Amino acid sequence: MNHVITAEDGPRLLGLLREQGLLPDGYRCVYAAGSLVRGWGNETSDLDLYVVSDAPGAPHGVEDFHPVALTPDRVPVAVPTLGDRRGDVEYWSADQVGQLLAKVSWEAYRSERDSGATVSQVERDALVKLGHAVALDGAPWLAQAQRQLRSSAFGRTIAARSLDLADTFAEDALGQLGSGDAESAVLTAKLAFGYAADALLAHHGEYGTTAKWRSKKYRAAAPAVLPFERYWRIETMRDYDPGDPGRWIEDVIGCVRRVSMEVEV
Amino acid sequence: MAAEVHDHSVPRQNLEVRIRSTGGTILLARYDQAYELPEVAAFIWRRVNGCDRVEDISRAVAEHYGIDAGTALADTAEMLEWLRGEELVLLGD
Repeated sequence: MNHVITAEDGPRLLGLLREQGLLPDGYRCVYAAGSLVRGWGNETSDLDLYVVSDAPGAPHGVEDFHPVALTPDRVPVAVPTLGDRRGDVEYWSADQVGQLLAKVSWEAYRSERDSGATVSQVERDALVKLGHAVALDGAPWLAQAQRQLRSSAFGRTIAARSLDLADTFAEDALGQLGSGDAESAVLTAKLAFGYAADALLAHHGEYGTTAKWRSKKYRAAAPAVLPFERYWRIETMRDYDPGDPGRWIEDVIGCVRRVSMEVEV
Repeated sequence: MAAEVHDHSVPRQNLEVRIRSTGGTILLARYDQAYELPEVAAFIWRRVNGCDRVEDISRAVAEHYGIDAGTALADTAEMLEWLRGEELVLLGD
């Protein structure tokens, strides 16, 4: 069984960061997030850590970064070995986190037609992980940020964006099917379904960035409108008949539309 | 596609229709046409599933709104006829 990272791991992990010169002075908070915190980790899972400081930047020697549409426009990243795991340490400034939370505020959601499009994959991933993070040090800062996230329009933003993409792919799938390109239509319908599932999960407070954890999140959210067993039949294409691909495609698109009706945006 | 709605018709939602739910309101869009469904229309739309017949849907309408079966059937058929005319639902027998 894999170890689940909790606040009790704080001293050990902070020590490992400090030993490698990866813990800046005067940080506000260090938190762990990702699969190892949720109890979904495996032998090869990275240990995702976030260091939040008042000043942007990272300790000397950390040169890699993720680009973000914030100010400053980069988040330094280190990938040290932490005990028996590969670490993935991101260095955010408190102001960058504030800017990101502002992007998913209700004000932004109501004022922009597609506010979800302004949140990049890196930014979305950071918010997803913030939601289930545990503080290793600086718990009050994390608790405040998580409160802000819970009261934000992040879920609505993700749901709306996912539904838009689901619709786009659903229409493409129908177009491909109509023109006789059933193979493309199958793949496109599956994409549409994935986005619809993401919208449904967001509606239930489980935000995804990739399909990697979708089944876990689906079980955790347990949406009644599309129970797990039905969801999984489509995800694994169990009813797909190569002799009649159109039936499966239309069934999936119908499911995408029903999900659209149940997700509040 | 059936020419008109009757009590044994089985309506199904047109897969080309985009659907959104916002503030308890159902919004539909097909190509460049957008529709905000009134409450009763939304109630009926939600029950259009490609399995239930018009008479099944009208029974739910009667029960939900406390109206007699004949009135419910007439209202349901009228609403579905409008939805069909806009190509938001398709009919089968």
